Amino acid sequence: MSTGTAVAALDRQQVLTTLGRHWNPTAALMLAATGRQLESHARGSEVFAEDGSRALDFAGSYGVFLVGHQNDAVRSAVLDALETAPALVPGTVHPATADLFTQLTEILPAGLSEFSLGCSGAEISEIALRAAYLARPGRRRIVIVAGGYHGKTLGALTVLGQHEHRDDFTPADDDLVIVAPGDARAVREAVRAGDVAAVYVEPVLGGAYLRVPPADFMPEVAAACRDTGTLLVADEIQTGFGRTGRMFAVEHSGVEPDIMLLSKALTGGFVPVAVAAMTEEVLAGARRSPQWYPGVLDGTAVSALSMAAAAATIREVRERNLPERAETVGRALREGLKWAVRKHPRHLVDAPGIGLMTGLRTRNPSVENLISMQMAARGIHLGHSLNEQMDQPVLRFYPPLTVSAADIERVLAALDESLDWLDRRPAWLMRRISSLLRRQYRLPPPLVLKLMHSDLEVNW
Amino acid sequence: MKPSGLSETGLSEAVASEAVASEAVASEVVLPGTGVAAGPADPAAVVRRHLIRDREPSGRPVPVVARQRGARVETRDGRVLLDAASGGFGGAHPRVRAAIADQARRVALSSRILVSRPLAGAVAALAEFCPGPLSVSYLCNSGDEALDSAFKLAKGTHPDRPYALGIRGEDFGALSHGRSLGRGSAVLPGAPLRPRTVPAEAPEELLARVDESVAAVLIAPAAPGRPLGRLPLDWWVALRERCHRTGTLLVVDERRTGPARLGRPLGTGALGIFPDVLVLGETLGADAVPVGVSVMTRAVYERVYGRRNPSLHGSTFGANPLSAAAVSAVLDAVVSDDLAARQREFEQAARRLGREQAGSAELHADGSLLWVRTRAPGAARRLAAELAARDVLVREPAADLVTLAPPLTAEREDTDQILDRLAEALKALDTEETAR
Repeated sequence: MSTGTAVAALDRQQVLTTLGRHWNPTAALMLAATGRQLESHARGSEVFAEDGSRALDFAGSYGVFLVGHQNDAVRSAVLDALETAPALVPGTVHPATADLFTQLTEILPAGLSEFSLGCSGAEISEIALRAAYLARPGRRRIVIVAGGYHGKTLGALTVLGQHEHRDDFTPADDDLVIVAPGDARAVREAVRAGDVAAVYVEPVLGGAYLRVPPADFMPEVAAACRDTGTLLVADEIQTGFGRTGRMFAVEHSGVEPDIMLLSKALTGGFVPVAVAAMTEEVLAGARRSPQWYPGVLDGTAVSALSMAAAAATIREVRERNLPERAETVGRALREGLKWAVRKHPRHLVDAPGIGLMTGLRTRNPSVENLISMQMAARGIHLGHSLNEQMDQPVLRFYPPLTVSAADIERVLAALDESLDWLDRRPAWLMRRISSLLRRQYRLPPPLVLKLMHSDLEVNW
Repeated sequence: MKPSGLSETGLSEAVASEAVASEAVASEVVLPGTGVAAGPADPAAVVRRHLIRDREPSGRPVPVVARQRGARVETRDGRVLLDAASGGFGGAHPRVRAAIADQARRVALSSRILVSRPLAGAVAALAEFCPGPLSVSYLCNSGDEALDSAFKLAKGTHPDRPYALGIRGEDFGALSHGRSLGRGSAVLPGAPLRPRTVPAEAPEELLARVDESVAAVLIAPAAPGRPLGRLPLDWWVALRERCHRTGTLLVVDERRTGPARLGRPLGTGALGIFPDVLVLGETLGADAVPVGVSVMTRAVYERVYGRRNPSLHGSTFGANPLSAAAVSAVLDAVVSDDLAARQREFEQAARRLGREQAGSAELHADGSLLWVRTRAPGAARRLAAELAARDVLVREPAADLVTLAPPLTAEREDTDQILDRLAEALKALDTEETAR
């Protein structure tokens, strides 16, 4: 019997045991502690478990499921590539790559015409870093935003604004300037000496730090970069393809970056893909560098399925006018979350949101955790930060842009119930839970399951 | 706390309402003039214009792919090329393709909030396939990224050690740390690990360079220009011991050599040692699904990631169900179709060719990893051009080396053709060289 046949016969405990032994012991413990079921399939805004339960997916893998799960057009493009010619063979051109490039040139700011392909956001974040250092020789410094995220490969870690994810590997050094979110004046100050190669910025700061910047932030950052010959790298990995109500978040301010990073939604929910788009000026500058060598800006794309998925996704976004939908359909969600903040100030700080990139800034990690679990019990998945060390993590609501108004209404109703439930919990309990959460990975695993009233066993 | 109450709908009902939803969606998306694989009339021109690529133009038009079957690449203009370039699994294995298609129709990427059965299948299969104590798998999106995760693991193990050690001129992938090691100089000024390297001509010197400033040694069992037997067994054993003694991680890079490529399940099996980390690449995704894996011992994993927040490392797409299904299907095919045996047959045929051809170039094959060392980089480029003229696809030569690695699932008939055409190309190269 092959392993494949064997895994089909495993029960949930056995699957968790396998994941705990051979994949990630702490992730398996968390899945067990939160009582997660086995994933079966997904469709539109919903995911289905093997036990027949279903949930609205407002987590959306932090922006991956922009066109919904199992989008028909994307799936058929992927299966077609799989059937005819699935690989990108060196020395040949696959029509799907050309199709993707044509689509991209039609929607990107006109100057961004040079593309590197990769398999993940982190990989192309590294490509942008190499391009920036090459095109601005002699400049060693990089400016990033506190809380900013540009991937966790060892090279990308050097521009990560989340110290909790990097300090064990490579603490920030003097060449990294970290500015507060939305602080354009600090950016101008940082680049003034002309020794900064690039400013890395998410046009809307994402992740558990979700924050919409003031309207003049991006234009002022762009101006400071222009004045000092500093490159502006716009990381649109979470925001691109309509999430914020425009095709790209930089369009809200009309800023044209030197390099743009694209991934997540571009996959159509099917196959990993990422693109670094840069201007001819950046590429020409990089090629003039004495450090340049052939292939230094190449990525690792091997799959034609990725190309086909990405091209089909952009078509979907354009034909269904999803950016506009994010703005119009998203209004109800944004307003609903703001209303929740007004009604429950004890638990919620604010409700940052633009388009369908929305969330609740919680008072503390236990609030984020408890809302998340209450909503899961009501059949709704949210984008949990998994970051219990932060003071005020944002619980994200990133539904597909194809989401129905009725689903948004259902989520808001469930949120209201969940918050009412939370209101009835005493303050000491919240403090207790926060402290437990912060120590959860140090607790004996069987105790974690006991605290969560789980009937599963930690045998890995 | 379990999802319950509001979510008690049975699966059959879910599927029924899914069918209704699917019809509704389908009627919305059918718009005029939007064929699936539409796209530009001259794909090669579009890609040439926009893809950042630094190759020297060959003067030859770049073929546009219409169809792929094993090593056969049919082009739009009706030619059939033979793929000795991709070095992967091959695109048309029926069971593997069916497994990928089946998973793609259910759930491909995932928010990973629920428990993944395909992932459990993949990591169990990897633990079974990999030797000895290698039992914990990190899945990501490419072999290069998997190799990068080994650099990161090394830095997490030894935050104070500045170096990664490897053979200069060999391939360590496209991520910045891998590039630095291959070139012997840092490509990022603030890189957490700096390269320490030995020349490709003297790989054995690696052993003496392992000390307590080295976080990890990264080495492939074999590489173009370096036969599997180039470093003797006692050398590998000594390397293993020295890594033990200094706490240096020993990372064996099998992105190009495993599974099956060298005519055995893994190249590591020929080394007589167990590494701390073993890295596998795109072959596991059947060249269709981007995936890479680093498989490590539990002890090495625990030291950095044990009892820590699982988001300390990872990526949005990593460990997705589609890639997991591909990994399981590929490993199953490698074993049940005995693909290693097929690569051994190729090796024998290639070695016969090596003995028969009396030219100036050196030819070597370990399994179906075949390389030709020419007299100079110029000759390597000419050999690649001779192969291209005979419709054999190879990668850009690396200095004086031309590498041929057909898909693991290539038919015998096609690999025989590749070798025949290589023989012709070598003969033509010799004629040219003599004329010079």
